[in-house]
Order: sequence, then structure tokens, then C-alpha cells
Amino acid sequence: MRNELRSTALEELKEAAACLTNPALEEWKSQGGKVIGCMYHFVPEEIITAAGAMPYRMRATGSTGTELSEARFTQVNCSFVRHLFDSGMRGDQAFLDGVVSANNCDHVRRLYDNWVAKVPTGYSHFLVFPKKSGPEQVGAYRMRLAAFRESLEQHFGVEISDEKLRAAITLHNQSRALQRRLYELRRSATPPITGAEALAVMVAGTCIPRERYHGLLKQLITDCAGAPGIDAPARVMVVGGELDEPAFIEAIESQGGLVVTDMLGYGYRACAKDVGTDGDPLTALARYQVLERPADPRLFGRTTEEREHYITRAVEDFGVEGVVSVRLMQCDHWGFEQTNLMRSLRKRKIPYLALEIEYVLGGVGQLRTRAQAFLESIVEARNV
Amino acid sequence: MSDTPAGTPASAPATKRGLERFRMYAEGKRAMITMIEESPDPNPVLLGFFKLMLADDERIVDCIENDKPLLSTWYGNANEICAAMDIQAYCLVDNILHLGPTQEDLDGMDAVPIPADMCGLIKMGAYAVEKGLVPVPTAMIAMLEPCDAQSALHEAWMNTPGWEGVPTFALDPAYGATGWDYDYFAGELRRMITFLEDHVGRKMDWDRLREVIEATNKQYEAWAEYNECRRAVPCPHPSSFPTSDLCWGLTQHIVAGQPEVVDVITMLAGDAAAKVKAGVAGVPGERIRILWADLVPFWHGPLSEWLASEWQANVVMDFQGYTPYEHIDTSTEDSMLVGLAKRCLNEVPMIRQARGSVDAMIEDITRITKDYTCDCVIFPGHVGHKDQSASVGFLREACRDLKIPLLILTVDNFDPRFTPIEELSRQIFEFFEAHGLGEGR
Amino acid sequence: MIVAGVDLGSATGKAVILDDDRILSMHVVRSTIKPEKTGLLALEGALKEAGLASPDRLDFIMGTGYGRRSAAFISDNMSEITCHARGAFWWQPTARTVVDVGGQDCKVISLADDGRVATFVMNDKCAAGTGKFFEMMARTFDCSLDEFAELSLQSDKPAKITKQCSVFAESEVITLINEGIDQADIAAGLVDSIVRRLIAMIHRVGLEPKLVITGGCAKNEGLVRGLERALGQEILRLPAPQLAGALGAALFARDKAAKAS
Repeated sequence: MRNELRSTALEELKEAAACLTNPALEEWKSQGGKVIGCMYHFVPEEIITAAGAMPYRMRATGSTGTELSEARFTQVNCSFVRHLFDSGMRGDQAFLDGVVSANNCDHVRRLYDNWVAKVPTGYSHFLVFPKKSGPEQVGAYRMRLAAFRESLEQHFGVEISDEKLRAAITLHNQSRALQRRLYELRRSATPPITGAEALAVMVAGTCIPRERYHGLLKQLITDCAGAPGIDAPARVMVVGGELDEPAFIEAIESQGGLVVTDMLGYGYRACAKDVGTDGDPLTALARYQVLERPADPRLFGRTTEEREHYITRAVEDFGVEGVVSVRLMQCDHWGFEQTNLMRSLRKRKIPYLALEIEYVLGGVGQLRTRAQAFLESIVEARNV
Repeated sequence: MSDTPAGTPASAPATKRGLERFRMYAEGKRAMITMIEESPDPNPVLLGFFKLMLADDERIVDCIENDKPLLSTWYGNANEICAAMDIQAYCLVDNILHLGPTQEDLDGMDAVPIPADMCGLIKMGAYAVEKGLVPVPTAMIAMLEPCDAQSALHEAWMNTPGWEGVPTFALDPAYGATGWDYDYFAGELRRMITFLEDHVGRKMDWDRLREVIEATNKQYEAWAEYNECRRAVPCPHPSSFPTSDLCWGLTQHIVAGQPEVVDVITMLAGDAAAKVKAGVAGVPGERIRILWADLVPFWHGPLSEWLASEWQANVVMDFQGYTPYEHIDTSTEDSMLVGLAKRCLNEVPMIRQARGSVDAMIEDITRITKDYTCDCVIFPGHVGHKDQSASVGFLREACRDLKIPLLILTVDNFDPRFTPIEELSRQIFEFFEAHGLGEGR
Repeated sequence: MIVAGVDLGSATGKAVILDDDRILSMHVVRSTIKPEKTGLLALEGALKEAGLASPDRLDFIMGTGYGRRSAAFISDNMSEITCHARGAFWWQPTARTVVDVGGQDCKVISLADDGRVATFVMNDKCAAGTGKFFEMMARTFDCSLDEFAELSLQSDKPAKITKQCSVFAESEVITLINEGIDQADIAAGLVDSIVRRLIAMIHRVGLEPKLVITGGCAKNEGLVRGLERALGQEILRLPAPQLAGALGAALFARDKAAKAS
């Protein structure tokens, strides 16, 4: 899908999303800045920022194989962990000064165990994240966050005061607010950017130092104001886990549909809500992760309500005509969620396409065929 | 609980979900009991086992027929508490697994719209609810451990027609094995009790809980005695699979704390002890002693038979049978709840090895291979155990340090079609041959 | 208004020419290595049968199939899913589930009451359940596809085929032949294994009667009857199931041409 928007800010953001490192990150490192890899989204990046380090969401972008993972994982493990571990073993992630993970899923929690055992890492920490959402779980998670803070303080010889934490929360909330503004622009009948571009912008937000990112995002939002906009034959939403590859969205959009919003880990789930700024900051972070941030299937008990809410929002606010869900093969969480989505969307008579992919995008022709058929069905339904 | 499962023709009479199936399960067990009783040498252990399992099915049928409270729960959810509150519980995959899925069940499983790469047990759970093979419960306790699919499965049930609105409480499993973890989970158990009081209408009887736990303490002691016998060389009984199924079934899959369970397991242990004394080998000419590093596979029969007849190989222990149980202190409410928390987190097969870090699995393998004088470890690589499959590197290192051969397979413990027995036996054959196992004993 | 639909599959190229509501001609060719060439051969054959001198007589040419984007002579393209659905529905308006078993992929499409695609699943990642599988097996049996299908119908005791992968299934078949298992039983077992795979896909989409089969493998009566037995219902036959995709493409071509005029 062609976009006539000319924006150097967008180009820089897209380049950052397409590589593991970027000039801004390298400059940060050259000035002695530390970079802490986060294996998943349950890691509250604010604490790392408050420690004076840069949080970085780990990806295996550019990975071409999983040979070095074969000794530690089997075919039953998802391609994300296999590629990421392979990437680590090859030294592609050597720019990281540490890694933090959580018991996000069965694959990732063992990825952490294997990583710490085999990849030279520096600092490492494992966060236990509750499996369900409730007040007791907020308390339990706050305790974990306190231990995380202490561990960072000890390792890096810094003090992470509540004041610093509040400042970090404010900074990250600013990112989220800017990202939400970008999403709002996509409500228009002719959105200024494609879904692939939007995902690239969101992924870039996890690998560029925050101030630089804010500057680029503000510039992009300004550039969007003057954009001709994209005429989309069909408006769709993508729902899924931690998709970090804009090429997947491009494959869908190449067939005539425009992805105008999403519910993705790197996407809208990451910016929908702000962390509270009242009271104890660690409690605010724990509440955000356990109770407030849009839930994904990893967190038991909130998904059904959330799903109904975001579908309604997508249809009413974004004019979404069809939903595409994406699942990494071997992912149990999203395996069931795709079925739950199917049931919910069928009740509402909203066209739905469920796709399964591997982490490194292959079989693009096959993806396009499915996307084409799906988009054709949306257009046909309109003609009825 | 009167309703009609999805897909039932309009002309069919209204039926209660699960009734037909559970009556069938009960009938099947009655038939087994009759067969055993009429055999020339009735096995008292099997007789005791089937009678206890039948009694549980009959109670469930009674609940369905008479609209009595029925709780859907799992083996890792402290069923001692249900027993103390006089709540009849069921685990909805139990009978399908114990009796074995029919071809119709396997085909039905394939028809459930969830990905093929998920665990067979999970698929069966989804299928059983979708097809109305199990009753819609009064309430549900979700077990969110040990794996991702457990959590997702419960959420899917809550979205299945007929099951929407079933009051549900999920136990949040702690990740570690510290005092804090047990206290936290004990807190979850307290909240579960409140939930059950509110939604099932039964009150917790702490004295009854004490009795139940004390009975289970005795059960696990008896089981430990049995396991002790299996350490003998030669092992007095054949493959651990049937006895692990039996003991786990009686201790965690029926109403908890029945004294008769102690009797059955004690008989089993007594028989084993007598055979140890007499030097009897469960597999005559035992040559290879195997640790099966996972739960008992549903299709264990043909595998055990082939191992014994072709190789004089005996699965002397598996993860399901091994789990070490601690005596629970019943002096106070708190000590009982903390003890139950420990049991749920550490002492349920599979949950023990899968729930937290990789350490528990490696420790168990280290301990079992030494205690049971194993010649090799077979790691089945069950497709549902994603975390364990991502532990193969640690497994290899541990077995290398133990100087014990390791075979890594990929199977579905609950679906015999995934890796057919012919393929399994070929891989095991090559493994035994390559390592010279069984030679020179 | 005369239009054409061209289905550029991996195994065969198909073309259908429509004159408003009337099928003027249908033609099938074996695929060449170049989809454009295959398309032209199929179209030439259909034009000849229709008594038309050249493609210039056509108001619109719609392409479908895996090679649809590679043929310059095509006016526009649509997915084979949508085209198979349209073609099958045109022939059988009571059809609600379309099972397409092609050369290198298979799909199940659920239709709305007006014939639009409601939902679908595809298997295009492995050869099991496709024409490729049957070709391999027929080669193993040293017979033609038709003979293989006929052989499978002679058995009432299908052998159990355990391998899901076509490559491994081939070696399993050789083992069974060497063990003296009746070849008809083996052939029936192979068909049975494909039926199971298709049944799983059908259930994922949700079986709504009536059911039709499209694609080249619809000619395999062993497969069709196997499916009927497994599903417990009659499968509607189409006049030329292999051409359903091309017909659907032609119908869409007609719509486009009408809009343009």
C-alpha cells in the first residue's frame, strides 16, 4: 500500500525498527549509557529508566536461522525464543548490559534460564508475574518490583528513589500519550500512515532512547497533519501477541486492506493506558501491569471483557470492517484466543481471519492469498 | 443443570450434559469389577482401585441426576478442601484419560477449532466441554499451572456456550518454593474457600479437613513405601506406568482422604515388598532400568509390553509415580493451608517439575536415577510441555554429568497418533543399541 | 459480453469462457514452469473451443490461482478461495461447504446463503491432502491416478497409514507392500489418511450441508466416497470440479466488465 507521506522522522523510526541497534542507541552506549534487554512486556521499563539505564525490548530482527538453539530447544518451542536465543549465542545482542525477563509463557521463561546459562549477559533478573488479575496479585507483584529495584541498585551502584521512579513514569507516560495521538490520527477516513508504518513506530519506541524518540514522534505527528492520507478499500484491525515485524502487516495491506488499529503487544496494548502518578510509584506500576494495562491471554480473567471492549472501540471509533488475528505457531495462549475471537466476532457478524506465522516471516505468498480472500469477502459483504 | 448440548438434534429428548457419558464410565468400571471378581485370581489392588473410582463416578452421576452441587476442578487444587466441605468435584478430562479416548473422541478432538500443536489433554478438555460430554458445573476452580494452555483452556471454557456465567475462581500459583510462596498460595486457598462457601453453599469444616489431610498423609506414606520397593534390583513389579496411574488416581483424582485408599496402596506396597524379599523380578531377566521423565503416557500399554518382551527393559520410575510428598502438619488452620499449598505447588506430578524454574526437574532426574539405579533416562518431549522441551540442554548436561544415556523423543502423552508406537520403538531400539544397553547384565 | 477466467494452478492451468450466462468453453492444460505461458496455453485452448479468434474478443480476463500475479495478459486477479466459492455456488446453489483439493494445496470454504465466502482454512504448507500426494502414491504403485483411485475402491479394510508426511508415507507404503498387505487395502488406507486430514479442516470451518468438492482431486471417486462415508452425507457432484476456480474467475470478470461498461 503506497503512502505519499514524506517524513524523515518516519524513515528514522522505520530504520530503527528494522535493525537491532540504531545510531541513537549507539550514541547512548558510546556515552557510557547502559542498555537493559527486556524479554517481554511485563517488565516495567520505568524502573530501568529510573536506574539511569535504557530499557530495550529484545527482538531477533535479522535472524536467519536457529541452528544454535537446536541444542537447547526442540521443535515444540516457538520460533521467537529459538531465533532470539540463536541471536544471543551469535553475539548479535552483545550491546546489552543485562537482561530482565518474566514468566510470560512457558517458552520465554525457559529462554531466560537458557540465556543466563549460556549467553554472556552481565546483569540478569527474573520477575515473577501473577497469572491472574486481582488486588492480592498487585501486592505480590509490587513485592517483586521492589526486589527488582534493589537488584538494579546493587548491580549498577545507583539509587532508584521514588522521585526518580515518578519522573520515569511521567516520561514513559509521555511516550504513551504521543503514541495515542498517532493512533487517533488513524481514525480518519484517510489515515496518514499505514498499519505497517504504525507498528514500526511502536517497535522503534522500544529501542531508541526516550528523548530522541519523543522528538521523532512529535515530528511525525506534525508531518501527518500535512499528509494526503491513504484511501483504503477496506479497514481492518490486527490482534495478536508480540508481533514486531511490520512486514507481516505489509503483507495484509498489500492486498488492499488498511490496518487502521490493532490490539498488539507492541501496538495499542502498550500505549492504551498510562501508569498512575499518585501515591507509591511501585504500587502504581504493579497496578498498571496487573489491573489496568489491556490484558492479553497470559493474564487470566480479564480477556473476555477486554476483547468485547476493544472490538467495540475498533468498529465504532475506527470503522473497522474486519479483524485479522495472528498467532506464533506453538503459542498456547493465542491458540485459544483465536478461537475465542472467532466466537465473539461471529456473534457480531464481523469478518475474521486467523493466521499462524513463524517469527521470521516466510510463505509471504501464502499470507497474501489468505489476506486477499479475506479482504475480498469484506468488499463482497459491502455490496450486499 | 438441565440443558441440551450444542449440536443435539431438535427432535432428541432434553438431556443433562455429561449424564450419558458418566453413566457409561460407571458402567465400564462395573464391568471391570465383575471381570476381576470372576477371574481365577482376583487382584485385590485392582478391585479396590476400581471400586473407589466407581464410587466417585456414581456420586457424580447422582449430582447430575439430582441437580446437586458439582464443582469442576483439578488435581492440583487441594481437593482435600472439597472433601472437607462435602463438595463433590470432578476433573473433566479424568475419565477420558483413564479409560482412554475412543476413536470418536480422537476425531472429535481434531474437530475442535484450536491449533493442532496443542497438548492432547488440553484438546480433550476443550472437546469435552464443547460437545457436552461433561456436566456444566455449579462453579469452577481454574488451575493455572503448570502450563500456558491450562490458563487459556479455562478462559475458553468460560466462552463456550452453556458455560458462560459459571462462577469461576482461579488459583494463582506461586513460582518459587520459598516460605513466601507457600504463604501466598495458602492465601489463595483461603480465598478459594470463601468462594466455595459463597457459590456452592457449603461451609468449611476444619475438623473434617484435619481428618482428610491425616488420611492423605497416610496415603502418601504408603505410596512412598511402595516406591521404596521399586528401588530394588530387580524391580519387583513391571513398568511403573499402571501403578503410577493407580496411585495418582486414588490420591488426587477422587474424593480426598478416603481411608480405603490407604488400604489399596498398602496392599500394593505389601505385594511389592514380598516380591523384593523373594527376589522376584517384575520383568523377568531385567536388563535395562528406565526413568521415564514425565507423566505416564496414555498409550503406555503397548510401549511397556514391547520394552519388556524385546529388551527386558523396565520403566522403574516415572515423574508421575515419584513425586515426594511431605507430611502435612494438621495442628492449626494455617499449618494445614500452608501444607496444602506446598503440596499443590511441589507435590503434584508434572506441576512439580514444570511450574517454576528448571531446577526441580533436574533435581528429580538426578535423585531418581541414583535412587532407582537407572540405566538410562527417556525424556518423552510431550508436545504440551513447552517449558520442558526448552530444558533439553539442561537435561543433557545433567545426564552427561551423571554419565547416564538420555533419549529425547517428541510425543503427545495423550494422543497415540502423534508418534506411532512403531516409530517410538524404532527410536528406542536405536538408542539402546547405540549405547550398548542391556548387554552383559 | 464475453469474458474469461484463468486459474493458474501449480499442476494445471484452466480457462473458462463465458458469454453472459452461458459457458462457451472450458480447457485444461498441464502447467509449465512459467505461469504466463500456462495461462496463455489454457486460454488459447478455450478460445479455440469457443470458436473465438483471439483474446481481443474478450471484454475482461480475470486471473486466479498461485500464478495469477505473473501473467501480464490478465486484466485483474482474485484469490482462488473466492473464485472456487463462486464457481461451486454457481453450479450448485445449495452448496454451503466447498472442499477444494488441488495440486499443491487444499482448502475448505464455508459459504453464506448468497454464496459469499464466510470463512475458510487452507493447507498450503505440505503436500499431504493434495494432488501431489496422490501423484506420489500412484507412482509408488506404478499406476495412473485413475487406476489408483479405482484400486482404493476395491478395499473394505483400509490399511492403517501412520505417517502424516507424504515423503515418509511413501516409505511406509513400500514397507507394507513388501509385507504382503493387499495393495487395494493400502490404497484405501492412503485415501483414508487424506480423508481424515480433510475432515479436520472441515470441522475447523464448521460443516454446513450441502458439501461439494472442487479441484482436480474431485475426480478421485475413492476420495469422494471416503469423505461421504466419514461425514455421513452425500457430496454434491459438479459437472467439471477442476474448473470451478476458473469459472468463478470468469463470473467475477463478467461483473467487472459489466461495471466498466
